[in-house]
Amino acid sequence: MDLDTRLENVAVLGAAGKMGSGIALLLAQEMAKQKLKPENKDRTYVLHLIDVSESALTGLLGYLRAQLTKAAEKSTVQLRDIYADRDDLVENYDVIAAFVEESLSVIRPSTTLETVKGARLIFEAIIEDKGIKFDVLRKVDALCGPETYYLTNTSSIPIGVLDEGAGLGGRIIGYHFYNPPAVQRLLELITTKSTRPELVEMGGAIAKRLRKKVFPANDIAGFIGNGHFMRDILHATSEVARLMSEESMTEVEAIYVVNTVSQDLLIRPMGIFQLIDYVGVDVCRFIMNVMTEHIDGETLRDDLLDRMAAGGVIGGQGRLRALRGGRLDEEAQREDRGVPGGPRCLARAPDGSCEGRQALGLLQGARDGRHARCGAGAGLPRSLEGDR
Amino acid sequence: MSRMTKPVYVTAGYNTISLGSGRKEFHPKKPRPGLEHYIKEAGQGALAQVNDPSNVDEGVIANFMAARFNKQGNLAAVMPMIDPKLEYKPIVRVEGACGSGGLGLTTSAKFVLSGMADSVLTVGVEVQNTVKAIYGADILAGAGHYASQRKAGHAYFFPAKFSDRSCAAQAKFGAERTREGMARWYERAILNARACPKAQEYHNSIDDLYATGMSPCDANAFCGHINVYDCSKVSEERRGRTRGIRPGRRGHLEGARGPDEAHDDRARREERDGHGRRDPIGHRDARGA
Repeated sequence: MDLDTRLENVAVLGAAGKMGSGIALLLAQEMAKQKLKPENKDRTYVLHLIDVSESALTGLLGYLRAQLTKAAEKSTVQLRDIYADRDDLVENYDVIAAFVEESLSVIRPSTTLETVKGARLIFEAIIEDKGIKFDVLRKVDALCGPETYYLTNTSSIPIGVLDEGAGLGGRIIGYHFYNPPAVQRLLELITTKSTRPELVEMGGAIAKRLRKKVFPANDIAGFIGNGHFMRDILHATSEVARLMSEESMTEVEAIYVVNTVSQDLLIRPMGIFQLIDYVGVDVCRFIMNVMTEHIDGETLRDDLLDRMAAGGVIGGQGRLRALRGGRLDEEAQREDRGVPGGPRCLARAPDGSCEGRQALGLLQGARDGRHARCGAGAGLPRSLEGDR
Repeated sequence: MSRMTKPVYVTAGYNTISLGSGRKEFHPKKPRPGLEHYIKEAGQGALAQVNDPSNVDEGVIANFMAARFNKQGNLAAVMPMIDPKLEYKPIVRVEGACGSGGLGLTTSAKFVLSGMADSVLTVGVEVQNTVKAIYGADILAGAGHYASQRKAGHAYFFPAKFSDRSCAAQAKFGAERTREGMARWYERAILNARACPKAQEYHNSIDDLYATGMSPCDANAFCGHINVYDCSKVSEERRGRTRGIRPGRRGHLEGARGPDEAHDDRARREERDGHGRRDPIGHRDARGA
């Protein structure tokens, strides 16, 4: 079965999640473009989007409509060529709206796993839990049969383990998008000795269509991306401990300093603690646990992350911007009024107080030179201070 | 008629700022002034220079496509917002694409020459950043022959026309030399704008303008033979003027009228795409005459 045929019926498991929604967006666009080709006019394209919650799926559809519109606006030059024969589509507005509707028309959201029956390509992006992945993949495979290929977005679990645990017989590859999938171009492709060669080739072809740059990774827990990232985290938190011990900084001050250094001096778009926040404290801990389980002789565990998790701090999508911007964004401020349970600011202390606010004071103090013991600001070149 | 039958004078004028991404006041996600704001500011700025607004006999308002950009037709009826003394005065709205401002001025001159008016207040206004550039391109395409050209036209209709001309220049002078010339043109345009406090690019602080102007063209995202920086040149090099039209009593000037300003907003917002790219389409914010 060739790729074009497989692309007629695709499913995303965990479609309403951070990664699943981005993968769904990319697939919807690609499938709509396939559908619009004259030679495919008799084919039917279906993209099953599976998740556990109706409300999440409702939100997903809104997200997809908005993102599809943005994507179509950026590719209107090409879309006008695609729709050149449609006399009724004259303006950019017409063309963009038509493509968005075309993309949405392939989507079939559902909370029922049975609906994926018939899917020939399945992208798995469910929770990073080995047991749950085994269970779901087994159930899906029983529905879909031996012709179906699986592309898992796991960022930590060895593919060989998943293959064996779910009984897929080499019909699964690691297909790890970077967050957010719609924007980041890199894609880790992980194979095992038993992976079917056709699937590997197909994975490369799909990546090309989705405009991703593939880099192959060995089948070692955490692969390349998280292999580095998790150890970066451990180094960062060890630096926090060192600054607290040797420089008498508070934990918040030390976090701020390490975050600033890891952004400005390493010329990264966000600091290490912002990245932890963006990915999620809970997700980082999951990944560390998985890596520890599958890598002999190395334990990846961090006390700071454990304390955050114990305090209900799971992070999530940029709350730590407060540290960079010198202010809490409006959303964070709204949430901060509603302790407990509401705020999920990474900088919130286990006792419920928002350390982000302390960090704000620190930031201001560092600017004013009042925090003499804090290296933040004072020790950095002014040119790196300017954009705060 | 080989010559005007009597002298017609411009006696006062006022320009608003040209609001666009090159100004600090501009924020793509914050509300911006609309048509009425600019009409009032321009008109009141000009009338402040005359003794009594009731001396204005007629009015002309020039604009392109407000019905689409701003969902507002019948702009003539908006003119009395400038001053209550303009109520019940004859006011007309004129439109001639990019030439709308000039058309407003010549229309005012004709009113004076016809003897129907001694003084005319002329206002030109554009607020075009109400829509994203990609949708604004559709509206601006109305300045061409829509029925025969829009469907076959490029997503960025008018920039693509200039891209075609750039392509012809490249064929004649070579791609590198043409790009160097365009980059130098961009550099001069921005330097001019920095000398005009009301220009759209007045706050432009790019250090190496020439290098920016040398940015490659992207046929997939915009046009094949111009880049997004090529779009600011015309408006930044030649800002509009205010023209009040009135016959001089015994040959000298009296009275005053409105401003005229043309400007383009080249904001590329999305979000951008967050990529810091600029809007390839001109979004005129205001024009008064």
